[in-house]
Amino acid sequence: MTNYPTLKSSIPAKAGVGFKPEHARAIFAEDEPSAGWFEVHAENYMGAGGPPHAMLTVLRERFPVSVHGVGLSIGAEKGLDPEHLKRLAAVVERYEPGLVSEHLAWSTHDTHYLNDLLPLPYTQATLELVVSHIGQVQDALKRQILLENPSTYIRFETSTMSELDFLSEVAKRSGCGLLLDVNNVFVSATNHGYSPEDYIDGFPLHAVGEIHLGGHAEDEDDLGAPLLIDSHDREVVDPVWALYERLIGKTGRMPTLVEWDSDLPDWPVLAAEAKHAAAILDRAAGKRNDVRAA
Amino acid sequence: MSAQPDAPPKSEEGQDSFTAALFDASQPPPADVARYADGRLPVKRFSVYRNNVMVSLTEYLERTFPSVKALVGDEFFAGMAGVFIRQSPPSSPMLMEYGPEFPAFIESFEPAGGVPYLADVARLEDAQRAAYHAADAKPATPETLARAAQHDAAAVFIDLHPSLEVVASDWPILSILQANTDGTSTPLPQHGEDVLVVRPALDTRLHAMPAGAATFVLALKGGASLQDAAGAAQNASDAFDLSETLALLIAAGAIVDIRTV
Amino acid sequence: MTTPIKTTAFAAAVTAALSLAAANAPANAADDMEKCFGVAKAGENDCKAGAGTSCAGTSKVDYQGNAWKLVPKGSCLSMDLPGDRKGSLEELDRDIPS
Repeated sequence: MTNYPTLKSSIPAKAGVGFKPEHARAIFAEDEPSAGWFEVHAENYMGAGGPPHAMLTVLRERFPVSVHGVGLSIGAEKGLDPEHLKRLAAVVERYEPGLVSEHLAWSTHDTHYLNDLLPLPYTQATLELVVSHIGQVQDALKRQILLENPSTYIRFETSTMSELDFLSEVAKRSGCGLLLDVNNVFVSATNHGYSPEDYIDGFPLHAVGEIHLGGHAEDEDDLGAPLLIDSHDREVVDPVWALYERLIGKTGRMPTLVEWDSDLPDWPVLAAEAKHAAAILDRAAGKRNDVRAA
Repeated sequence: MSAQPDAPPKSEEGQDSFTAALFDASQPPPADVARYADGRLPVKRFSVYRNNVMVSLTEYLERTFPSVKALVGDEFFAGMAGVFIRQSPPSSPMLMEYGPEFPAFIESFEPAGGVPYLADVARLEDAQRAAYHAADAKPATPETLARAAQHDAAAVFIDLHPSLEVVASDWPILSILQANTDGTSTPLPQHGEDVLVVRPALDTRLHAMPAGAATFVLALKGGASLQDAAGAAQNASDAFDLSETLALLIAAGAIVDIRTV
Repeated sequence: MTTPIKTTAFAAAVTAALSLAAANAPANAADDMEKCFGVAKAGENDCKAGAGTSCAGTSKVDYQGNAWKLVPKGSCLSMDLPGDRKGSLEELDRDIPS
């Protein structure tokens, strides 16, 4: 397995926002940009031409851009789709993003694309599978990728290790970096009854290259216990901001993305979320400087 | 971390059974999904995944086929989309390629039989989907076109815009679509409409086509010379007018080059 | 087979077409850019979950012919189709065969 160097990312350690065409006009009209960078979903830029490419080209000229894949199905039992991997490589080559990331999940089975990030049992066999697939991806892209921790709603009887151990091992063996989604930590910890603080504290933070924040919906499971859904359709909740602040206290400034994919608000609402994250980043930087000064 | 080797997955485990259970709500969650401490099955938890798959794909179809949805209403559309998605889930992770099979499905879907133009309206919306993502190309300049006039029509071949689609219908589909998208409420025409779909720059445009023009353009698209395409169009309709049709294609930005042999 | 188009007739058609088309301003990428920014016409891939655990994805209303209970209730009910065919919904005679 080739080890690709951890890139000196061109994504600044600032607050960014998931790009939506609906916001393009408002974004380009800002004198003082509210977001330091933008992230796009790779699959939406795999067409031959048209408005998506035109918009991303303009966006890329003005802002650092990261590419977040949602359809590679890195956890697929039946292997990666080589055609899809080529398409991802083409997007990366064309737009030269500062970071490239994908999910610890599967979404394609046989010839069916299921359009959801589906969960994996954490076993020796799935570990080998994921490590091997990440190797294929990094070889095709000739660069390191980041792998994101998932939001999950079920656990598997067959799992033999924790998600933390699984992700640490994947990073160690594949040489990939990690994308730590703090909302996913909160969602999964609530759904499965563990401490999100312990998860953050135990995370292999040296491998983290990017952080995600987003909103979730609340529901109940069959027993009436809270079941959180990673809906990306509202503001980040206070407990997630608190977890984020705890995390940044340990890592220092990190590229941080606010995601909002459904029931899109007007741009100022997202801009305010980005400013909230930026304020936390600035506070953490301030504290670090204080430590150094002392 | 466990050092024990894993047993090979049983048939009721793994992604085969997970996928099957996603699409069939009468099945319990797969056997390898952990139960609650009291042994109960995590039905609601597994349903989150079922919901994610169906809702996200239904929303995609709603967004791609807004006029079809307006014509039959939200509830009917969601029900029809659900049947379609279970029958023909996407085969590519590029969601933008999902849709071409929906019109034929609608045509064969009996409960929609009372709206016989529905499938053709879906074809028109699918053509817009395809044009949106098609390759970009610059329409030919008037000078290029004027040069072609020096040549024998049998030796002239027209390269059409990569985004070009033709949807011919026995129903006034363009007017129906406009009534459902821009709220245009002029009386519907008394005849079928053939529609030219082109995206000359970034905005996709729809044009009603004159008599015989659909045959002409489809022949050109199939590689026929201008001579042969015009012949086919004349056979199809006595009213075919070459000047009028070429004027439409030029104005629509549908011609990217003219080759002569 | 139809009669071949004479070269002069073709030349005249192109010339006429050019003068007809000249009246229309050609599509312009800069204008289009302004138009397409701020609107998303196409469905997109994303990484969100669907809204809530509502029963939308678990509906057992599957289509088995007789089990289907829904009827179209949208604007099709008010579409004034040619020849007052709202009730009969028969296929129209076409003026122009395609």
